[in-house]
Amino acid sequence: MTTSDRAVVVLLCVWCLGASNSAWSQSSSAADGMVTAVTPVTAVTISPARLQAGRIAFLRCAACHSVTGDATSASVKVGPDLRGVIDAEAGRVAGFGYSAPMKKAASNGLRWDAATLKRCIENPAQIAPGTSMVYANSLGAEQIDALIGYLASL
Amino acid sequence: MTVSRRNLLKWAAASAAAAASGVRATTAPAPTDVIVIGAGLAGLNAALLLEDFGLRVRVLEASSRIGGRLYTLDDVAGKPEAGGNQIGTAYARTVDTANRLGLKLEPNARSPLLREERMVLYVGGKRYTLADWGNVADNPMPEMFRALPPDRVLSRLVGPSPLASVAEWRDPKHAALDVPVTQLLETGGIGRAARELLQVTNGLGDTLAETSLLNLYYSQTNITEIIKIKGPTQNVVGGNQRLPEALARALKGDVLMQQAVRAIDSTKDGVVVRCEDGSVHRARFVVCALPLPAMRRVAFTPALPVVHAEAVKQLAYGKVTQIHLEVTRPFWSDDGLAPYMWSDGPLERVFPQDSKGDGNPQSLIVWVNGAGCASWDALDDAALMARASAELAKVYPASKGALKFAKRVAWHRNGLAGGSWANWAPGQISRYAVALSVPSGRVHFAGEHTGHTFRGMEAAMESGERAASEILVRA
Repeated sequence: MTTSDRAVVVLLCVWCLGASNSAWSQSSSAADGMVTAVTPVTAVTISPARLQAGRIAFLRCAACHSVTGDATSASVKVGPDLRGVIDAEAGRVAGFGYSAPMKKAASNGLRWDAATLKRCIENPAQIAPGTSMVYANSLGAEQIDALIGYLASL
Repeated sequence: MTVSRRNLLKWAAASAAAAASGVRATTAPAPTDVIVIGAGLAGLNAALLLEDFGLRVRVLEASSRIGGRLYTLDDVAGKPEAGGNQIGTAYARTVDTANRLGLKLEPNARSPLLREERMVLYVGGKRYTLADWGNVADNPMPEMFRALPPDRVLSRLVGPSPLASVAEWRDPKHAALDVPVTQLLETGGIGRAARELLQVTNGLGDTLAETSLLNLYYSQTNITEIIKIKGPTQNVVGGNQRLPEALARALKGDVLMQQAVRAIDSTKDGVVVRCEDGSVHRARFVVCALPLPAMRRVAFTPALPVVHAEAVKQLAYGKVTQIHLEVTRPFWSDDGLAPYMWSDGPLERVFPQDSKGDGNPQSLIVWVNGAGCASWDALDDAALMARASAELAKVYPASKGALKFAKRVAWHRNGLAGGSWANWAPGQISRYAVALSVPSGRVHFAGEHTGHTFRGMEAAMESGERAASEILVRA
C-alpha cells in the first residue's frame, strides 16, 4: 500500500464483520484522500508520516521477522512472522520454534496488544526472561508507537 | 554500483596519469544523500538499506579490496579466512542478507584433526599429548582444570557469564565486571605461571591485565548464543568475503576504491568529505564505518564530543599475526601428531586449514596473539618463514621441507584495520561503549565496535542497520 499522500486508518474498535464485507479490504475515498485499512480486530489512526516512521523503525526488525504471513518464513528467519500479530496470542505461528520462556509466557495467556508489544520492543526480557530474542532497543517511544501502528496496518 | 573492480582500474589509470603529469586528481563528484565511509559489512549494509528507502548513496573505500575484516585468501590453497570466519546461525542480519543476495551458507567444516584429544601441546620446550598434559608435574593449571586443553581453562576459571544475553553487555548493571581479568584470577589464587599460559589463547587483550572481565563474559555469551537457536556456525560457500562483495554489487550507487578519507566537515546544511587524493564529496549525511585506528586519521569538524574522541584514541585493537603455510607433504602422518598445536613458544598456536573437513588440510595457520606478535613483526617474509619452519620442526620433526610460505596477515600492521577487533580494556565498555555509536552532527557511526548485541560480523551488520535507521528518521 503506498500511502505517501494518504492517511491510513486502522480501526481501533472491534469491527462489526456483519456490517460490511469490506471489513477485510481497504477502501479509499476520493473526496478526502483518506485510505482506510481495516483489520478484523483493532485499529489506530495513523498518518502517512507515522506509517513511514513505522516502516523505518521496522528496519530494525526485518532481519529476524518477515511480515508476509507466510509460515515458511519461519524456516529462513530467526524470529516468527509478524503479520497479524497485533492483539494475537503469543506463540501463534505454527511450526516456529519458540523458546521455552516464550512458550511459557504464551501458556500464561500473553497477548500482543500495544502495551505488551511496546514492553517487548523496549526489552524482550521484560516479557519473557530468557527469550531467545536478542535485541537491544535503540528506538524512541514515538518510533515504537509508529512501529506498532505499521504492524497494525499490515 | 559502478563495479568496484572497474572503478579500481579506472582509478588506477587516473592516478597513474596524474602521477605522470604531476597533477593531483581533483574531481568534484555530484552531491549525494549519504556518503558511507568504509566498504566492510557495516558500511555496505548501511548503504544497501539506505538505497532500499530511496536514498542516493556513495561508498568510499580506502583500500583496493571490498570487505574490510572479511578477507578470504583466494590465493592460498584451501582459501582460508584471514578475517571473520564463523557466522553464527543466530547472526540474523548476516544470514538474512546472505540469503537475500543469493549466497549459500554451509556449516563450518569440522576437521577430524581438530578434535580436542588430538591437540599437541608444546610447553617449556617439551611436547605432550593432551592425555599426558594432565599428569605433567610442571602443569601450572589449577588441579580441577589440569587435564583440560589450556585454551579452555580461562573460561572455566571465570565461571559462567552472568550476562543473560549479549544484549546486556553495555548495561550499567554489569559495570562492576568491567575490571581486569587478573583481579579475579589473583583473588582465586591463580599463579603467575598459569596466568602466562592463559594469555596464549587470550584474544581480548595484549595481556590479561589489559583484558576486561566484562568483555570476556560478553565474548563467552556471544559464543553460546550464536549457536543456541539454529545450531553450528557457518561460512559463505566460496568464502565469507563473497558477502560484502555481493552487497557492493547490489548497490546502485558507486563504490569508489582507494579513497582514503582525511576530513569530515559536518555543517547545519550538509557534510563535506575530503580524501587524501584531493577529491571532495558532498552529501546530506555520512556513515562513518571505519575501525577506530583508521578513524584516528580523520579530522572531524566540529570535533567529536570529548568522550567519543577519547574512545577513538584510546580503544586498543587486537594484535593478530597469521602465517599461512601451504602443505606440500602431509608430514603429520609420519609424526602421528595432528598439526593442531598449542604452545607457550613463539608459534603459540597452529591450526589445520581443513576446508573440506576430510583430514587433508591444504594449508596450516600459525596464529599468534597479542604481545607475541612483536617478535614476528620485525622479520621480513623470508626470515619469518625460516623461523616458523625451525620452530615447527622442534614440535614436528617431519615438517622439515613439507611446508611452503603462502602469506602473512598481520591485522595490527594493516593501517586501515589497525587490528582484529576492538579490545575493550578494563573500564572502557562502561566509559565508551554507548558514546561510540552516538551520531555527531550529520555523521553517524557504524562498525563492529558500535554493535549493541552480538560481536563480530553481526555487530557490523547490526550497526550498519542502526546507522541507516538513524539517517532515515532524519532524511
